[in-house]
Amino acid sequence: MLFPDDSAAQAPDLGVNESGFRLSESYLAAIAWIENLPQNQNGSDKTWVEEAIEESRLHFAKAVRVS
Amino acid sequence: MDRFLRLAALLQEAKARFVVIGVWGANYYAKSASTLFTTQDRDLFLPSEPGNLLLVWQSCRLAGLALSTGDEPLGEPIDDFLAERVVGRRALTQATDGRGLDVDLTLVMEGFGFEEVWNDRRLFRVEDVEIPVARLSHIVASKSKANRPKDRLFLETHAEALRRLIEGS
Repeated sequence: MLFPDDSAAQAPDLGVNESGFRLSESYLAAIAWIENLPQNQNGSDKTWVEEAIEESRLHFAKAVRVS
Repeated sequence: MDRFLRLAALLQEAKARFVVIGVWGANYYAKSASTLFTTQDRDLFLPSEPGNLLLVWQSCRLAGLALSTGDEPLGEPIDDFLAERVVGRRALTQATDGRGLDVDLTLVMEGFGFEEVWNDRRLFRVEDVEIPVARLSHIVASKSKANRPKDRLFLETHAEALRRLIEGS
C-alpha cells in the first residue's frame, strides 16, 4: 500500500475531473494524508516556512553572473 | 518583523477577512524546506465585499505597500465607491513594496466561493501572527480547475514530491 494510513478513504471528493487537470486517486489520497498530519492542524507554528523561503530569496538575490 | 507578517498583523487588527491561497498557501503544508516551492507572489483570497476590500487596501497602505490594478496605480481616493467598482468587476488588486513583497488581492478562486474556503481554512501561526490558509485540497482543486500551464506544472511537481515523501516515510 502506498500510503501509511487509510488516507485514500478520507480523500475529499473534489469534483475536479469533469474539466481541468485530472488529479489521480493517489495524489488526492496524499493530499488528505498531508492535511491530516498533526503539524498541519490549527495553531501549528509555521515560522520555519517563512524563514526558509526568505533565506532562499536572499540567497538567490545575491547571485551574480560570472561569465 | 517580516514585511508580510506586518501586513498580516495589520489585516488581523483591522478584522479584515482573507485566506492565503495559491503556491504560497500550499507551502505552509510542506514537511520540510526541501519540498517548498519558490514563488514571488502571495495570493490572498478576499470575499466580494467592498467594506472588507477597503479594510485590506488601508492595511496595505499602512504596511507601506503601493496598490495597483492592471498596470495602473489604484485610483484615488481609496474609498467605498472605488471598492464597490472593483468588487463589481471582480478585479484583481496588487500590492507591492517594490522590494520583493508582491501580494495579489483576488476576489476569485477558480471553482470555489469565499465562504466555503473561509469556513474550512486552517489557522497557522508564524511568530505570534495567525495566518488563515486555505485547505490544501481546495488549493489543489482550484489549480486543477484553472488548468493554466503554470498550474499543471505545479500539480505535476507537487504530486511527485508527495509521492517521494510518502514512499520515504
